[in-house]
Amino acid sequence: MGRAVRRARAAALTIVATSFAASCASDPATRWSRPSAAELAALAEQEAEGAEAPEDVPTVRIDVGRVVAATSSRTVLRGADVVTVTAEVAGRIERRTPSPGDPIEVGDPIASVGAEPNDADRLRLDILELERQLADLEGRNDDVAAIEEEAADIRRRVGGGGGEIVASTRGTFSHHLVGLFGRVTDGDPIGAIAVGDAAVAVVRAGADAD
Amino acid sequence: MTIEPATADLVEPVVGVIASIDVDAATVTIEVPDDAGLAIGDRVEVTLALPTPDVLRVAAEAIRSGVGGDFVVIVDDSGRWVDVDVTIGARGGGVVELIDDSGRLAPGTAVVLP
Repeated sequence: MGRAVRRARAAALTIVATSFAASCASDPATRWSRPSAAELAALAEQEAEGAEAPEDVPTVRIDVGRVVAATSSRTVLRGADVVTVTAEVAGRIERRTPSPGDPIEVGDPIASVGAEPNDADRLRLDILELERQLADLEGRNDDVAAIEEEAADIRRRVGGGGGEIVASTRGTFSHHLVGLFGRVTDGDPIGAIAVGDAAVAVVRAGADAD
Repeated sequence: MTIEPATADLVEPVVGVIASIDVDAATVTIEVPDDAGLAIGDRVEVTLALPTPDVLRVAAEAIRSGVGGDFVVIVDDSGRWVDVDVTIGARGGGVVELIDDSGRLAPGTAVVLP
């Protein structure tokens, strides 16, 4: 260790010790206060750029070679060649029947879709309810009946939606494309059926396995 | 790149081939060899290994991070500390690729460990 470093370290320790003793004497409440900026700067000076380096400092050597970046993740194998199954009605996925790898025959259930009013229907029902309340307050009984009938029509239409989505292809179930309780509209792909045995792994980039 | 079952019913790790990379979805699709003994629905652990060509590298623990970015500390010919800004390239296996814009780093340079 060089003399300059030893001197700097000794000076720094002296400063801290003096400050600590002074703080103890002046105010017990600040006994454990942190070193001042000047004290920290003095300590940092020991390893600052340009300072003399100790001889026994631990080092590693730079070399030339390959760096093998590796990412690792878990997944479930899917079919390489798949046919998608689409929703024929709008709503929410209430049940997903097959698991990946299950054999599928034509007509087998893939998912159940529960009917759900879309945003327009939901708004229409809210407006009708307000109109019904107003008509009721104003004693317009004929209007109340008409409004209730209109709302009932909407509910019947919505209630008639939903249903079971079945496979139109024979194969092996590969994977679901919509999560449970996910919202779908008519024509959305909801699952995939593999039509061969070939499998693939689909992984998301970014997980560092190092 | 290796693919191996994630369950206790192990088979030997197999090497697959990258079939496609979807940049938008940030996914990589790997074909599983037909004779791998794996089937649709099997849970697997996939390891993607991406080796660089020969590059300047150092132990990852030697990299320090500061307000201005990553740097290493070396000892110059006169025995003094010198900070050298670096850009980190690939990481893996406990080493990192050093991209040295300063020209001060070379094979054999001793880097001070934090």
